[in-house]
Amino acid sequence: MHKNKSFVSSALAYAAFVFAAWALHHDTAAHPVSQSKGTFEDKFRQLDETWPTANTYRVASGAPGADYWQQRADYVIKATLDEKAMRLTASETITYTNNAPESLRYLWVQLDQNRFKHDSLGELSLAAGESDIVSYNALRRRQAMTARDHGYEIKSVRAAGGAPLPYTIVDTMMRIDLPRPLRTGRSTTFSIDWAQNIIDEEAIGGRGGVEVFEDGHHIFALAQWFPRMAAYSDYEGWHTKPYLGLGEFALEFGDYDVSITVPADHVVSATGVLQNPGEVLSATQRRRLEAAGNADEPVFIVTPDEALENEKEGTDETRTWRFKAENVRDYAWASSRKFVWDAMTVEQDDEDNPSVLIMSFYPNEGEPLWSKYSSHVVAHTIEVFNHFAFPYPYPNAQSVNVWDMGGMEYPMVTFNGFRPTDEEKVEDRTYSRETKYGLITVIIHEIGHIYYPMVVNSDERQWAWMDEGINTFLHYTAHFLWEEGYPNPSSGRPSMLDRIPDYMVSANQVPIMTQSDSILQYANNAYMKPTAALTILRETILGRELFDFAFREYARRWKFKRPTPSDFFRTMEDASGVDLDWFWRGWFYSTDHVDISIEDVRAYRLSTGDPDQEFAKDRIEARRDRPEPLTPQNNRAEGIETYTDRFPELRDFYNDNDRYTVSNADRNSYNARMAGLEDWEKDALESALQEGENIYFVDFRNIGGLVMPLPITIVYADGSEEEMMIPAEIWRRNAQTVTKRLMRDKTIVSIELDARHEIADADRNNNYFPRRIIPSRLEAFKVANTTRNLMADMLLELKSESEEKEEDLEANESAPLVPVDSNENR
Amino acid sequence: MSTAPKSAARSLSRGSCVYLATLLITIMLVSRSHAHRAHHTLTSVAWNSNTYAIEVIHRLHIQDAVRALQKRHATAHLSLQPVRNQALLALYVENHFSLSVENKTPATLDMVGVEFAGDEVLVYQELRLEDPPAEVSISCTLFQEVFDTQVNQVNVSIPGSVQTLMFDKTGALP
Repeated sequence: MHKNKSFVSSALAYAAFVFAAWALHHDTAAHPVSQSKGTFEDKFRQLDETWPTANTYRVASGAPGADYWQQRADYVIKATLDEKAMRLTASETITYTNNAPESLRYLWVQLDQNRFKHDSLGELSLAAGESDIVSYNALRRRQAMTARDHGYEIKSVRAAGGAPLPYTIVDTMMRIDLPRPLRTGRSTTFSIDWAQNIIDEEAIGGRGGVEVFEDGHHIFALAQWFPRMAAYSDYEGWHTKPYLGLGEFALEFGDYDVSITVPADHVVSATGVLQNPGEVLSATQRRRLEAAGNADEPVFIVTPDEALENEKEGTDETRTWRFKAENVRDYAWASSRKFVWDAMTVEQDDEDNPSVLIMSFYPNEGEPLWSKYSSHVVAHTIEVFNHFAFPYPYPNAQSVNVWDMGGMEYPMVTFNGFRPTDEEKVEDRTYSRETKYGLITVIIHEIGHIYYPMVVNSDERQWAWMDEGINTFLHYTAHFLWEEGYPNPSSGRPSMLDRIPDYMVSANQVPIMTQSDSILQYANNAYMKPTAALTILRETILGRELFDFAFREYARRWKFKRPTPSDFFRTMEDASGVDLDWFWRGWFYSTDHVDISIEDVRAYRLSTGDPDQEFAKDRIEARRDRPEPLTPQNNRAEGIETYTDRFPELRDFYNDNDRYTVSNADRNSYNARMAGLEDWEKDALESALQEGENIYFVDFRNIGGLVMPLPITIVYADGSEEEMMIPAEIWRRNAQTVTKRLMRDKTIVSIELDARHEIADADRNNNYFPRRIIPSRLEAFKVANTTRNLMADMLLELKSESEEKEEDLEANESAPLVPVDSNENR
Repeated sequence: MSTAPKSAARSLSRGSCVYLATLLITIMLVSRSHAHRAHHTLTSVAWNSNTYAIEVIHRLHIQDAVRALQKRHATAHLSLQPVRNQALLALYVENHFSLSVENKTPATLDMVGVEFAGDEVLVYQELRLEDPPAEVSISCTLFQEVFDTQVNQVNVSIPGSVQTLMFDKTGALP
């Protein structure tokens, strides 16, 4: 039996050894440098071996290089909306300029609408969830998808002279073969004619489409609506990753001349500047629009009453709205007869765009919320983002109200959800807190995206965090500048740094540096965690002066250019002058979290070493630390004599001297030690003794794995406090445990780590020395909450009510399903 | 075609937690997303050795919670500000999250309360026990009837580590 057990153990040990050897070999093969002995992990290893080698296109400082290039695509588009059929017919002429140093034999065009074909890669790769339920939404979507075809109907692809160009469609991409290679510095012009059924956004979902109102009217919001040039870059060639639905877009800059033909009673919001107001606006509307150019408060171009009136009339006529936009990477527009339209202007310190026209478009269903807040929130966003990036780079900024909870960004135009509902609009036409702050939040976020990535043109398809994370960080910052206590002064000023640890401790997560479609927990990974990271970088690690300078430098360098992650990381280090490789490695390249513990604090006082001075002190301390047992004390109290009390002749030298009695040997030893000291060593010791310094050794343990600076609050016996920031570099030789020595003339009574909640520490129970009992969040809530009893009563009442109608409530949630016996199918 | 109800069981480390999917009937789900924001919940389950209770904290996006209650109660508007509607949310959570200890029937968790935190609403539940649980089973279907792209993550803290359960759609979002 024993023999068998040994055998099994040996076999397991062997297997483990083989696996370890394989893993080591594998690791060595994958990386040019590896820790091939021991388990040391260098959390401060420089990222140069991970980042792409710098070249003349992208230099090691993180800036565009002397030979930086990017492609250019200019568009002339004519589109006609058929409202009744919810269909678009269009043609475009694209002039594509090849600035790459190499010739191109073919071009790739993005066909994002093909995502909504039945057999698209995105559609076919949808997987069912863990639970066996089917929702009404799912049934409706299936019906909408089968009721009519979606995706592009490509009618023709022709060269400038009219000759057909061969093309090949690959899911959401189309390759156009050129008759001859397009050489560097040359342009080619071709045209595409197409049509598409516009998706019902509520039924199918997506980033654009049509909203159908109960009164039969529509709001059309056209996004990813035209065949767009795929990006071609120095680091990826053609960006051919298909559109699966989550990863957004990689696009080229260019000028747009777009003519949009819609029913004559529609109002159109679109990327660019309206070229023909005389043909599409009334004289009154033109006069109001001109007045808005000097207004610092919103003024109506179309009033709510006029919009209501507009809905009543109806027309078979059409009008063509023509817009031009310069240097934009995308194009979106919205059209409806329901639109109320207001506008105002913000001034800024910029030669190209000294003033920006802010416009909001919304149906009456959005009132009274939209006219009160939308344009002002756009103005606020521009003010905040201008500080962190650059002056708003376009002549106008628009906020358009689309379907519930929508939110999407395009150059100059944003689509934003949230509107009060009819039930809310009781006589005083009010709206809920959730709706108000939902609207303000989404507008700040989407307008912010006009900076990132519409101008700082990162690749959303690959790296969601580069626009979502950076933008959410600034949008989070803008919240604090909108009003104190945003969005709810009674909610305890929630901090992102208290929120993110709940996600970062997860076992199942991916690093921020993960391709957009492969991210688990998209919001926490691509939005919230980068926000927490950048907040810590600004407020704690770099400080505002260094951070803001470097962050602005990144925006300045990559304005109207295409940055990659390493360009951001390198610029932040280059401009701040601070090595942050450890920070990127921990927050962006790993799934570590922050949990640092103060494990122990050991106190010492500096000793002269002189036995005549020290032994007496030692005796006092020993008696303090090791009090006499109760038994001899009680014996004395009862008057009991010991044996040697009764026979004192038995006492000798050892009864009169303890271990703290100074002997000549002790004095000789001390004198010999002092004689061996150099003069400077004696001076240092005497000086320190005069200051009366206490010495503390503070042990920290890194439980979460992420190395971070250690902000500690030291409390002294006299009641005073000291704040101290130990830099993260203390972990560079040992990322698991470190000890910090503190020398203070005052006596320390306690130390707290991260008292200001600034490093996103996940477990505060181990942040104190000596330990404290920290109530859990739930326990703290119980103490603080005053409405618990009220809610408990309400809950009881509701439970007694709902017992009767539980089935009805569940029927509202998902479609009824019954299991089918497989035999019945045969 | 399989006709057996889909039920998955997975063991977590140290044998202390087992995951059981809800026993409902399978059919292919198709997805819909509101353009920009993904629909996620994050629930933390932890044993509090000071109070001898399993503490459950659900982090829900306010707008998602509102939408779920609107759908459940077939109403076009519902604000979470009135205490009554917070109680409705509490009731909803009770109906869409369950926890069983040692393979028994789902326990009746005490509803501790509802709290707002930024754009989130936190729902607190707890279960007092005489001994630390050796095994916990969890089911979480929050908002899955509202958003077909819903992902619910439950982090179960056991001494020394966190185990994560995902109640999600594994496919891409449109």
